[in-house]
Amino acid sequence: MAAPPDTRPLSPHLQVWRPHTTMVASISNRFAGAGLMVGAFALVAWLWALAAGPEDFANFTALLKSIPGQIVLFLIVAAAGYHFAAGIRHLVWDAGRGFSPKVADLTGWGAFVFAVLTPIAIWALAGA
Amino acid sequence: MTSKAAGHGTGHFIAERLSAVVLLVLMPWFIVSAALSLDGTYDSARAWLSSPYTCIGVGVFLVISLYHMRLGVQVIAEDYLDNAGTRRLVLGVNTLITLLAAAVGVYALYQISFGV
Repeated sequence: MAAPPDTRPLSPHLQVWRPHTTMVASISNRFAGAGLMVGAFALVAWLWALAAGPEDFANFTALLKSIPGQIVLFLIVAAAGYHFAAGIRHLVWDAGRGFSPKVADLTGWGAFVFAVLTPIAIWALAGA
Repeated sequence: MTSKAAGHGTGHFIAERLSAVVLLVLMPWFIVSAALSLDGTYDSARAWLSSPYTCIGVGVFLVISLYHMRLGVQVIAEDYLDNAGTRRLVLGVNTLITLLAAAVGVYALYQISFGV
């Protein structure tokens, strides 16, 4: 049986908004979360390659160490940093704090900065 | 019934946040520990996961990440898929793929720990 048509109002569509910090921060969090799916599947594939033995693992590692592999890995770690910081923002909001436009803008920028610094710090750590 | 979040919102809300708080600890641990311990060689990866704490930690991190991911993808599907049939299909596939990924990952960790 077909569901009755959904007549509830829609929120304003993206194209009527001028981009602002909190909006871009919110959309970025959804993109980062979706992007982390790649990270989760990559972790499963890495574990599978490791369980399969040295040859398969070497092939998979070669993929990760290639330029495209490193770019994807870098973006995954950046997405992880962003989702982490934006997640903290959400948990603070859930506690009823941080809603004033000034603070919300500031923490939004903070999340972006954190997202850029995370992979840089991790690559430095791995190289050390 | 439109099979949207109606009726299940509170449980979803709590589950998403509970897993988020756990991942706030596990994700930094996983990334930093991996960065410090792995150098891309097979031996470094086996050595890293030879500790039961690391192995179980990676397993718990993976499973809770997939759980949180399933909840997040559900929200995206419910936001953008207006057709009830499509939505049901995507939510079902979402659950199946997540379960499959968890099974493969945990089996691999089992092989790494106890396999020959």
